[in-house]
Amino acid sequence: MNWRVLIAGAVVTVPLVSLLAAGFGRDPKLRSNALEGRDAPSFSLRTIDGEPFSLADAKGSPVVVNFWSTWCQPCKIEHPVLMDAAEAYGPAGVHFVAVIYQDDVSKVRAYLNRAGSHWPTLEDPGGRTAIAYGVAGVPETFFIDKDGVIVRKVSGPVSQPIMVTTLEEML
Amino acid sequence: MRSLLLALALCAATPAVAAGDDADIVEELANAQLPDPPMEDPPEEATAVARTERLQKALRCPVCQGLSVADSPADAARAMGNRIEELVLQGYTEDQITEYFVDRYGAWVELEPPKEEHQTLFIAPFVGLSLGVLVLLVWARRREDGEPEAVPSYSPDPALSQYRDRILAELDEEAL
Amino acid sequence: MIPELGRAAVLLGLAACSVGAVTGMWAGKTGREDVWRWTRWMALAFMISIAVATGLMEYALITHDYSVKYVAEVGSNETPLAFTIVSLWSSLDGSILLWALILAIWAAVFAVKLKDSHPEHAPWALGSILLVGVFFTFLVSGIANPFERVPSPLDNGPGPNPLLQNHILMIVHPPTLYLGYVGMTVPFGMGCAALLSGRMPTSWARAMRRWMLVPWACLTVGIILGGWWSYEVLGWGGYWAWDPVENASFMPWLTATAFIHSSMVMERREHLKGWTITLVMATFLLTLLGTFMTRSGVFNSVHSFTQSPIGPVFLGYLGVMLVVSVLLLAARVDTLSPPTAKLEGPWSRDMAFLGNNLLFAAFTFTVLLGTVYPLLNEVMTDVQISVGEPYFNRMSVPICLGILFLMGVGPALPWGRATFSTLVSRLAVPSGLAVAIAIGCVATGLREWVAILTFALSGFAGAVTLRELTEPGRQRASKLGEPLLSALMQTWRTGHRRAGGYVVHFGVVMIAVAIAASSVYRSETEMTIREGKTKSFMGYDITYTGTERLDEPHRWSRVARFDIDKDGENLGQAEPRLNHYKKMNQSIGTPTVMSGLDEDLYLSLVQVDPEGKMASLSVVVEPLVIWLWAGGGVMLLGCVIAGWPTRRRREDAA
Repeated sequence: MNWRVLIAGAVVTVPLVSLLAAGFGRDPKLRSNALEGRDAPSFSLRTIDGEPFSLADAKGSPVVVNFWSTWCQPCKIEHPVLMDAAEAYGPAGVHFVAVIYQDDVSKVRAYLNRAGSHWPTLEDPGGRTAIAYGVAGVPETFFIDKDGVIVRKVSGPVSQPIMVTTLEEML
Repeated sequence: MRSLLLALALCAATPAVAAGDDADIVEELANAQLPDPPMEDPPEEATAVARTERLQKALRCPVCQGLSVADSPADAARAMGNRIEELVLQGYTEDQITEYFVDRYGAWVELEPPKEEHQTLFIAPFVGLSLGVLVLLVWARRREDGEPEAVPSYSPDPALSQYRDRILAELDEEAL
Repeated sequence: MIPELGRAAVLLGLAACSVGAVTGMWAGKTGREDVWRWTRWMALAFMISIAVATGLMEYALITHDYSVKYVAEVGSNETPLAFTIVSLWSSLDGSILLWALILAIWAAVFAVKLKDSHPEHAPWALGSILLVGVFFTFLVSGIANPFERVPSPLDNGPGPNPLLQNHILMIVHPPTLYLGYVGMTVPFGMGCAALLSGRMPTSWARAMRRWMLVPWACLTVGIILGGWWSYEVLGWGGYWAWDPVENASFMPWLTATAFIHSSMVMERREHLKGWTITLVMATFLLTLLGTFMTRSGVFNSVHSFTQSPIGPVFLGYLGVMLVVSVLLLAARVDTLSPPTAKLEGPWSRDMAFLGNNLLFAAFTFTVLLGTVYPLLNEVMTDVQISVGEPYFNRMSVPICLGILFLMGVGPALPWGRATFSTLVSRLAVPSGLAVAIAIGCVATGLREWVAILTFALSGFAGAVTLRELTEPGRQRASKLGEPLLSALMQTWRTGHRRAGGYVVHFGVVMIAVAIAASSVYRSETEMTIREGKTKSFMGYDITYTGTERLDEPHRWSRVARFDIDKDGENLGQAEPRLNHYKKMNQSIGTPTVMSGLDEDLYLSLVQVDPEGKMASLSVVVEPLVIWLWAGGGVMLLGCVIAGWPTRRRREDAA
């Protein structure tokens, strides 16, 4: 038994296999919650109807910022959740606002005419706001509290329970 | 999950509309979103182009598989590339811009992790190579201990050359 | 019907290769001729069963039999026939079936060719190969069963991934790659045979190298085809992104190349037996690792199939094979006979070969490190990072330059000890050429020192290669007074293994030059052109003539047409397009590549406004890209020349 070969082999194989095993259960898709706990980047944009909207205006109330697009299936899945939340919590002072991500305004208008919305939908020229928020895919939703701090970021469609819990915490 | 959709659409190019940019809003956006002011004056064109290219090659397209912003035709990458150019033209340094993106997206947006924090990654290959050279030298030295080889000396005999040629030809066939 | 029949065929195959594995080991241990015959028959039975299963699957795909699970996953009535046939390997379960098929074919061919030769080793080898087959067939029959019956089949399916329907290379790249990848099992089995029998004679070493040549050629071509496909399809004008799965195919190629070189040393000097066998085992284990990376869902990559339960099973198998290989090596490597000849040094071809092995091993280590480092970092710190092209380019460039240098120095050195004067005389002309090239580069304004070095070293290696290739012929011509051409042909015929090797080297030089030129001299821009107008870039005049919408059963496309002129001469029409597949909401572009001997014009459509009045496109001009693919062809040619079967005078054929 050649001990040097055995040890060399063990040194190579054991760490490698352990590392690969540790990789299971991880989602390899990239994600970042870098902005959680930080001040929300400010923005001033126009809605699809041309009205101005600025994040600074909503300071003092909780804000839900949702990045979405019409070509994104999960965005359509989470739409009813957003609608319900807007109806329930809008009167309580929560501002809902949607930002278009890499999409055609005419398509957005057509979709909203069908599906409806209770909040301003903002155009994001050049995608600068999406970049400022580190948006790497849609849908992504940012929950901003009264002090302008991002308390939660959700990548992927927001589920009803998470929406309710987070909103309750912010109020 | 349909972010798989994004992952698959490696070279997606949606017919996006170039929204009519309202100059005031753009001005405000461009300035409002970096926390610190630019560290330098707006650079000359040659420097700006070089800087933009370097950054576009160093930063990763957020919706692609390991492509740089420069290489990816995806809309998100183009938006990011344009933003990088804007920031460069305002005088932000490469470090500032890199830090901005890392701040918002996370460390993975850099295609190469910073050397200072990940020294193992950059040193290990050289260490490995050096170890290999060491092993090779030690092994070769041990092999060389032993009888010195008698260097054969001969002068080719013309009469035997045909046999020599045939042997050489056969050796060549075996050679590689 | 088909689900049951298919599964039955697979189970038959499983039985055959299980029995064959056992009898193979038994025949190896006891040397019994009849047991060896059984093993060969089992290998044949294995191949026939899996071939039948594959045939059934293709039949199901072509007839759109959605009661079969795999067809329900990737089939579609609208997909064109050619892509339906190749959808066999477009998704996970089908690709494992393909793996089993190719492994079975290799096993059967091995059984037939080694029927009467190497009686001491062949049974062990075939037994090992069949043992590997047991695992893959087990996967196909169980967890990754593509033949499962769908309880309530639909009328139509989603079709294969649109990216896999875009180009004809989809038809060629995967099978070629698989032939190479899976084929590495054969030399692995032969290495195991050497260890198990305790003997590694020159004849077996020679056989091992021969059986490595075909998978190596396939793997080389497969990798280059992958790069070519990437270039033609993905729209960014690049051909290699150091994606985890690209790396997974590259690493076994590196160790296999190292093996080919070290086995030459082993043949001549009886040295490095243990190391050479280690390399051949590492090659196989790296193919397992690569398969794991593609299918486990642990790595995010262009090639990633979705997460599946196969992952842990595969890792388990990889772990077992690693342990078995290490134990086998440790236990048996000392039984191999010690070297008989001395290794010359330091200025000898032996040392150049060792240097080659060192560089290739370092390269493999570096690529492996870079590929798993993000995972390592995330497991340790929970922070995601990327290790991408900049890192790999930075690390691989010095190593590749070293390899280029050795490719020049090695063949110029004799096998025995070389004196300094020999060294000088053999390397003078190539070195002079290299310096001249370097000066020429600088004179024409090139400042990137990496590119200058690459061109100079390519000249160095190319000159040595051409000289070595033609030297026997030239000597023969001068001695026998024969015309040069016939002398060359004659020496190439008798010394075809040597000649083939040098042709392969020349292909590598071509590829090195192509990569350097296309990176350093690449120019790109973006332009928006109005209908009827022309814009220019790098001497090309591009006129946008209009857009058309094309409807096909499985997709609709917007095709933009551009007239391309250069120096007043019309080069034709470019038709880059944006394809919209029913399954996906975003469009996938097909670029147009106009290839010339000197450079490629690469047009990628970014967007077209709905009326077609304006088109935005990205234009890239890359020189010498064709040399890359041609270089691959030259490498293949070299393999064919080297591997061409010759009538052998001795008995140990195959």
